[in-house]
Amino acid sequence: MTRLVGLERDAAGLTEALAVISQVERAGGPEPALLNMTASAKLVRGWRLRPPRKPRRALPDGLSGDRRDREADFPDLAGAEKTASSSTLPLREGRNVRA
Amino acid sequence: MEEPSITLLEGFHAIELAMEDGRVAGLFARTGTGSGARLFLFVHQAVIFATGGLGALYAVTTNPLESRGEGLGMAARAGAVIADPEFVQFHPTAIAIGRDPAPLATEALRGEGAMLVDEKGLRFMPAGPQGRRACAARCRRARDPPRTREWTQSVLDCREAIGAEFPKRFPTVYAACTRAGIDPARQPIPVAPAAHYHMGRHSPATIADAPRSNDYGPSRMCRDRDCTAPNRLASNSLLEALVFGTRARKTYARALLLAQAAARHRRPNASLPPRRRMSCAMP
Repeated sequence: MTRLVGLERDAAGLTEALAVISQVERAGGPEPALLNMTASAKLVRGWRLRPPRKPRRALPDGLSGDRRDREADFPDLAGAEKTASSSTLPLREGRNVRA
Repeated sequence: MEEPSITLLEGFHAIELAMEDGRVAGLFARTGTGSGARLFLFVHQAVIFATGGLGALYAVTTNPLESRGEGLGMAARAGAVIADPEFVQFHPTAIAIGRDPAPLATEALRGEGAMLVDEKGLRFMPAGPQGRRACAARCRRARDPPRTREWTQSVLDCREAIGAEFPKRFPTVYAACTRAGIDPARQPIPVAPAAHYHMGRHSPATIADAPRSNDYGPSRMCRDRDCTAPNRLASNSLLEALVFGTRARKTYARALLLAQAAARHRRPNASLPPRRRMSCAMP
């Protein structure tokens, strides 16, 4: 898993990485520790496929002031999977790299 | 860990949050593996996550093997929303000697004038005023070098800038190199970008939108105050451990007091529902 889900930075590599993550998940069965790892990997990879953005800003009370921003910037696992499966967005210039 | 109110349990592997009516009600953990594994449920009104990052999911990382993103994944699987999960910091100069985790060649080496070059001796970053570009930010350094050419083995050449002073001035890096048979005073150090730090965290909405859950993480509180942003700065981890660890403790204590008060007065509490219909998907 670490070899195949390594430092992949273009959209094709990320998509391939997500496919591998899913394969690993299916092969591992309902093992909670593995599911936790693959969930994190999906979140990272899924959201990496989205357009570049700045980090979410928080108000002093710790809450986002804009609900739309909050929803957009707070992905859940299902959202990450959906984004990963539907995204064809290119990454920003300078990140078109596979190492 | 000598605080009498703290009981340290070692040898447990947390695997899943126990959920009750959409709120965290405890934690499943196990000991052992395979047929010898035993499952435990720790019932509690609040859970603090201090589970580390996810660098070990990557092929090359400076993180320990235990940093596999299990805490983040556990929270996500329980329904927590996650903020900025894709913000992963890569350190450009982990020492590529096949060790896991990869030892770090500190950026102070480049600050002293060491050059990041490819196998042909060509610099990845052009020289700038007073060598500033050679000390570019970690994220930029990690993503820029391969942009205009095929990725090749990069090395950190410290011979001219540091040379014989290396053992005295950078003893930790020197020891890591010599263990791999490399004398950095005489040879370039093979380096590679490595996953170094994860800025993702649980969302504050998880708490703010109670009764969704009761899990708290010091790192989340830190980053919600914009201490980290997409690229963490050195020593921000200290903030997380000290300042925001304290805040997490206070929030945790407040949650427990609320739970105790609700129990005393025997009245419904919207943020702390009675413990019933315990559910958790387990194999």
